[in-house]
Amino acid sequence: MINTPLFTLMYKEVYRFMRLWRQTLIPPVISSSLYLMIFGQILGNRIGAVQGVGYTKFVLPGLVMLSMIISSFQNTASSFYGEKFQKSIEEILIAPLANYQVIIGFLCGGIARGVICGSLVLLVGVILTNIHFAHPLYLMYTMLITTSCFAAVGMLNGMLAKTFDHITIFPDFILMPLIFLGGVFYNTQELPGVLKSMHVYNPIVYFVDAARYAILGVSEFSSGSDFLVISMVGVFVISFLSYCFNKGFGFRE
Amino acid sequence: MAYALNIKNLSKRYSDGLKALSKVSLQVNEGDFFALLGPNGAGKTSLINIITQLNHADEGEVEVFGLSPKSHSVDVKKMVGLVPQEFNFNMFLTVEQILSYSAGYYGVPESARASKINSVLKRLNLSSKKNVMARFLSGGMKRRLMIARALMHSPRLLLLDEPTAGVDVEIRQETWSFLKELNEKGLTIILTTHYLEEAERLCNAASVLHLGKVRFSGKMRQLLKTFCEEDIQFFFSEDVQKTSMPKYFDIVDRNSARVTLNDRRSLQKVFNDCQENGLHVDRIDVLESRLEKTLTSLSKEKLK
Repeated sequence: MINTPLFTLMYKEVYRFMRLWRQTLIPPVISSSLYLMIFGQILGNRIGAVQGVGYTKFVLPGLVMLSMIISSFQNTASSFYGEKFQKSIEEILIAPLANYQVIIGFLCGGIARGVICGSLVLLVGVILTNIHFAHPLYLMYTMLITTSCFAAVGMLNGMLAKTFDHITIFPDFILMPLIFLGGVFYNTQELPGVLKSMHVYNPIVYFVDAARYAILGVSEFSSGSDFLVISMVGVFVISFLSYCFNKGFGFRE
Repeated sequence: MAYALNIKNLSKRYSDGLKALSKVSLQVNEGDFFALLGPNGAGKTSLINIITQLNHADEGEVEVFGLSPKSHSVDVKKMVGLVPQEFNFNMFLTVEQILSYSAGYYGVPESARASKINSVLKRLNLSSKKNVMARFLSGGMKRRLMIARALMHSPRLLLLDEPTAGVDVEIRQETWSFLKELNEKGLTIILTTHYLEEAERLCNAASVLHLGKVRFSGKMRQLLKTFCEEDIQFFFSEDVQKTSMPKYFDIVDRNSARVTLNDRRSLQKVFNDCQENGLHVDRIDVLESRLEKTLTSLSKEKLK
């Protein structure tokens, strides 16, 4: 039986970004296509093979991850903060929805947007590089856990943010550096000195590595390690979000 | 008799140290049109936020139709509709979308929403705005939209937090008549306001909150009888300093004087006395509303 309150919230969250598809779905695809063409096709010919694959193919999983992480994060962060700012979150909080349903509803929007953006980038990659997926099921799992995890981070950011500026602090100062140090455009083994020894503590490395294994069949860590780490990070982030939401941090006195 | 709302010893202190409610207890009977009166900062909205589970109380108990939100959170939420003080809908959605989502949150199936939306919009004279984005509505329309939204799931208890603030007289009258009609059909309504006239016209019972405490709770008649003083300024054609005046007048200037009306001194009596003294009343001004006067009295009582 369909749970009408939960379905309504899920529908609203998905409709929210689908209505603005020119702003929410197309830009990540354009920027990723540009990355693929400029870094992959133009610079890639000079760089040569990385981990045994051509550079254009090598950067594709990282770009898919970049697109999914940013899209899922932005969706929940802006949606939750927007609801909080307009006070329309009160409408959801007084409605007969359990806390877990509110969380699922918001995450659903982030997951859907992240998966759609990632799939579109993947589609462009397939067209440009004629790639064949090495492990499709593993790819689906990686996409799902990545978007869930970063949608949860975005929702946390939206909950705790007190101004619009706070929405951009986390992605600008923490998320983007971690993504760019997470091996999206290069093999992390080529990082210099301290960064190389520190990179194993960067969770994004495992998300990118898992995507690379799923799409290309090559990876720095074992597929089992990647699976374990991304699953644990996902469970931890969603549990922490649930804890904060139940406590009402940032939106309830 | 069954209580629609039963509140016992409710206290709330905010994180900034403000004590919003202090041992508040009150009962609202099923079918009542109940006024929750008090000036700004009295604790009315805090109380409503606790009833609707937007905020948590530090101590005390709330029961809605015999159910506690602590143990029956979802069941209690289904029975309550809220019209908050501030506009809190998504301004970028249409009127229809706002109402449809709200109904959905309360489990109203999609097939039943269209007819419900149409009937509520028709009754609130908003049918023509069904497909208009909320941000393009006037203030009065937005207020009515909030009432429409709160009714989408047919609640048993409707909480109205100053629903006519900033609304013009005509729309206020229409809203009052609509609310009265809903109450006559059996809906229990709690109305917070600082307009005593609004409460007097609509409600049969009332509580007065002041500084987070209940200062009065009982029937509306009793409230009006107990606290019925009103300060009025009379403006005369004559120079009142040169004319014999009834003694209860306090002269303000050459053409005006103040008087306090109460249960022994009605407006009619004052007019009669003026006529007997050959005074012609040009106009009158209400200086202090009865609610303000009531609250002043209550504060004085507290000091005593």
